[in-house]
Amino acid sequence: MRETVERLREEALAAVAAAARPEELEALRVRYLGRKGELTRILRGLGQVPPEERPALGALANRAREEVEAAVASRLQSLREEEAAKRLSAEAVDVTLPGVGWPVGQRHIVHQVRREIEEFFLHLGFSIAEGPEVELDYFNFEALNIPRGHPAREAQDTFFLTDELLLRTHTSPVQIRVMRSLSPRLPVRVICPGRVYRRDTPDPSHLPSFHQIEALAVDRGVTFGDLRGTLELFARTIFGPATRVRFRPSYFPFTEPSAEVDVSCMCGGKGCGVCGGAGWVEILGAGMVHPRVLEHGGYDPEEVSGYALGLGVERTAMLRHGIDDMRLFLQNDVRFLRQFA
Amino acid sequence: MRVPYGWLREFVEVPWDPQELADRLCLVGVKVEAVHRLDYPLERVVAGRVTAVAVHPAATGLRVVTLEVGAGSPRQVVSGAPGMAPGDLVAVALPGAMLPGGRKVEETAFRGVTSEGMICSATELAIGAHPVQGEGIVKLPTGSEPGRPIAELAQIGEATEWVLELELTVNYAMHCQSVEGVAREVAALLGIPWQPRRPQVIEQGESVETWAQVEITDAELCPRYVLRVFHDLVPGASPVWMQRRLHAAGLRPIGVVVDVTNYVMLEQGQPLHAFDYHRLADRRIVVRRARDGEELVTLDGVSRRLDSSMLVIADARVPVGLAGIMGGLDSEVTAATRVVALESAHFDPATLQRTSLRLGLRTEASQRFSRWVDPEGTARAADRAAELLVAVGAGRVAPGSIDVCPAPFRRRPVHLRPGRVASMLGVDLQPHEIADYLGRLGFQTAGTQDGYLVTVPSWRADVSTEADLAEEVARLHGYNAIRATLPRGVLSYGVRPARQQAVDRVVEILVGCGLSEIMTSAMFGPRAFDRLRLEPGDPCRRALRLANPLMEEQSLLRTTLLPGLLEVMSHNASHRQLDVGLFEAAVVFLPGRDPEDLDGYRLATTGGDLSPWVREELRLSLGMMGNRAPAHWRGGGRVADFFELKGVVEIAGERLGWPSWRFDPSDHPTFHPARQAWLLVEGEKVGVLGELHPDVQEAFGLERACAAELELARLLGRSRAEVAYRPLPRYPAVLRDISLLVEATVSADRVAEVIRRSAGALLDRVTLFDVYRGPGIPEGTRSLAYSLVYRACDRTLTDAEVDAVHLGVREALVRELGARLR
Ligand SMILES: [Zn+2]
Repeated sequence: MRETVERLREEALAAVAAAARPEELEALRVRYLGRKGELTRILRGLGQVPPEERPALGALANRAREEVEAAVASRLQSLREEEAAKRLSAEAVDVTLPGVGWPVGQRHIVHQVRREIEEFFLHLGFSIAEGPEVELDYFNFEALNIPRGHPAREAQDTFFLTDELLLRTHTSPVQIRVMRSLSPRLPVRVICPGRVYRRDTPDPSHLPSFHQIEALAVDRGVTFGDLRGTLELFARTIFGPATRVRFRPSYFPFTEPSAEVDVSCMCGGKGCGVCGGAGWVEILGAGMVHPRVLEHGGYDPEEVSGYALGLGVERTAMLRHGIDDMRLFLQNDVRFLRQFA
Repeated sequence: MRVPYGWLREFVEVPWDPQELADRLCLVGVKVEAVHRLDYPLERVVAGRVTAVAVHPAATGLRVVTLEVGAGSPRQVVSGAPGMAPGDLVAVALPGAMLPGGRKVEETAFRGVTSEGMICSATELAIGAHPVQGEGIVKLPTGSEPGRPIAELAQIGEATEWVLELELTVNYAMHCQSVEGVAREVAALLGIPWQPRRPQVIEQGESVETWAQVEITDAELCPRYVLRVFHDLVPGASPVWMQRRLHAAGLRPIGVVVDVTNYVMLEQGQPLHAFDYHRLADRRIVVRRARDGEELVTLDGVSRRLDSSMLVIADARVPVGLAGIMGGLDSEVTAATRVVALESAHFDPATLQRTSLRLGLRTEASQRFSRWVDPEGTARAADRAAELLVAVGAGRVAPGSIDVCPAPFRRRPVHLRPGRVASMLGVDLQPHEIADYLGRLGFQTAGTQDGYLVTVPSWRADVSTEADLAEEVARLHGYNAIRATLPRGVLSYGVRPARQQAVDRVVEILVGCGLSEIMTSAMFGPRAFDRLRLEPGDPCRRALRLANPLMEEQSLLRTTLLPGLLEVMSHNASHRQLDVGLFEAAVVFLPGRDPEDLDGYRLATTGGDLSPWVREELRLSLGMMGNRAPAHWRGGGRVADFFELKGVVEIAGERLGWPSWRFDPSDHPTFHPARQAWLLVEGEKVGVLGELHPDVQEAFGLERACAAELELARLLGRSRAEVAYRPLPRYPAVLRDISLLVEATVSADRVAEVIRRSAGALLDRVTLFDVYRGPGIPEGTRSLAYSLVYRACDRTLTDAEVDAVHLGVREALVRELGARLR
């Protein structure tokens, strides 16, 4: 009997190891371990074995049975794995084929830069104010200390609708509108972004319309040093932390003292096409609000002071991204627009 | 304004090289646009006297000129220049001389005749093209000694001159439009006291009063008029050194008298004018307003009609010059002139500017007068001209000058509080430091109880307030020496206006839909309306017109965003960028009341609301063409058709929560008559979308393009803060499909409406998932298939409940729409 169990065990294990398909394994399981299986039969037939041999033979047969069972299970597992591996490898794709495209949109670069500048000032506590693009001559010029006959009117070639109505040449008129609506409350901290118009023929550095952002701070004790501090922080935020700022005296009818502000060129002063070798590029005009403008806005220049600054959004974008032709902004070639996604 | 560096150094010791000088001037506000370099040929270029001129024996057009050039004379030079005669004084470059551009002069032979040098033209002497002699030979003034190096005659020690090209702002143009003006700034920068140079005039002959009389009839327009008389003039060229300076400063040498006046103008900033004395009737100068209708032929040969707003210089009878702008042709100084009356005057800037603008006549003189000319510099400028005239041997000066000054210039003092200036700038400056800065710039300060009374120098008309003085202090102290601080005071919180926030939300959605934002011009022309196929009476054609447009096609303020959008699509299509989705959120300008009736001052003082005249309405344009997704190896993208565009609008509508909105068939002339729709919100039209009309597509070179224009201001929807959370469904849904056949004229909206109404509150969602027209179903009908989702929010629906409702839906479709259920 003992020999039979041994033989059956070996025979079964060999057959399991040789089985190539799950069905074969199932047949082997039935053959050896099924209800009428050969090993099962031996266990059932233990009653005919002399009682003293029973425990040892039973244990032997049980071990054989368990061994074969385990062998079947493990062989089945590995057969399944092999099969799955084969199936999956047949599903291979060329991972170097391009992925599926998707329509992707983006904001216009001018509006991206406008918003970035706005965010800078919002963080500093400035609110945003808007005003009309068709503006009164009075707000665009007179109230900003540019009376009729003033040479600064010549410098800013203006589109007129009538004698009194024009396309604003800067966003400064919004300053006056804001001060008049806030006066006498303090502090005044606003920026006025928007489109402005100049009667210029389009060329690489001129467009008849572009965007400006004007900032105005009016309070007790606002100083020229505050203007410098604001602009240094601004330049580092927009153009990078290593940026330096330089002020040059200049002239605007609505500020006194007035300054033109340069930032250090991206070339690091080595000289390039953008700065023309000077190492500095002009980015904006600024100054202390002219006492007469404060008066026009409803504030007493003896009591308060303020600074104002104005910069071109297109120009800022051009400097930062190395764009050499302003007309690209209005051309809207998608190959241009998509570069700033 | 161009300032030669060497000229500047006659007035102030400059310790910097030209580039450093330029940088330092920039930092005090005198903007230097560029520094130019001029090279002069100096070595081996000498004066020569022509002794004989012969025709070249073998070459027509060439001449053989014999010259006396000091040592080594005579010399023989072959030249192509005409008009040379014995006695002429010319510049001769001897072999070995280097000319501008690096050309070396050598002894050569022209068709068998040896040439021992060359006779120099204006270009070769680096004095530019000569207006009289053209590119021809430069003639030297009488007395130029043959053989003397040109370097000595030109009185220029160095072979290189540097020229600072200034770009002056309005205020600096009032006092820096001269060599002396810039020198004064440099002196202030260096802290060197500034003293104007006093000319030494050698006078001869009859006193000036015996020559002429001056009368001013309008003291306001001409507060001061100085006249000198030069006689025994020797006409001819001015010396080479003067010609070079004029050329370097950007003026053309003309002749010695005019050159002298121009030289003084460049040096001192005071424009001068020389009249041919013998052309003045009654030897009188009358400064008066022109009479209406009076005429004057100016130097440029143009006859000008004058009026009483203009100031003229007249003789006893007629105008002989337009004051401060241009002289008259009749009294022009010519080679025949032997006596001139030299004018040095001060005119009212505003009047001059108006006249100059009215006549469209801008000259070097008018540009200076219409800014500011130092009223206390008139006599000195006339003296300087007299000094120079004698120095260059061009004539004699009558003793004395006539100085008529009906309105002496009064310096206005300005009150200055040093503490206030320091605190406004944010600097620690002591009062005496402030006074010192001002003193360096020529301001005189006198102490008062609370500060200084500052007297502004006569050349600084740009300074009239304490703030102006603060700028003077700041720029001398150095703008960049002021410590950077940040505003202190009450904290404020920056707010973006609600409207901008709302627009940003719309833009975000559109970008998410894959559209690119564009930015187009706010101006277009009347042709845009025709290209959009708008009827003659279309309200969109009523647009605001610019009084001074750049061109007709940019003469109107846009009333629609469509032309700009279509231009952009057209540009991209023509550059083979065919798969494009675009949008723009921008304003259009809608006219209201007649702007001619607007009273600007009154409106400005009453709030300044311009919307009754011009309504700036926020619009949104959308455009699509080609494929929505780029072509791909797995198959083509979706065609950007009407439904793709509509889909974007629907996404916006759903996300923004527009109140009851729908689409209705529309009849806009710009779009395909059968493929366009109005967007309605709460029953009102707020925009149109559709496939473009074939004619419009053709006009813009497009194929199968779609576009939309919507009134953005009415589509901003609710703010995000207004969104209220709805709990997620807790009970399962029951799904049922319906497939039906209806007349093709029954709209999908109508079907959906019947389904919704008949299903009632238990209907959670209805989705159209199939539309079919064609073989297999009767002509004129279409098959629609919907899937309906039923759900209750408080319980699990039973089949029986749903069956009952669903049956009601099926019956309603049959009853109300004549549908055949399938
Ligand atoms: Zn650079």
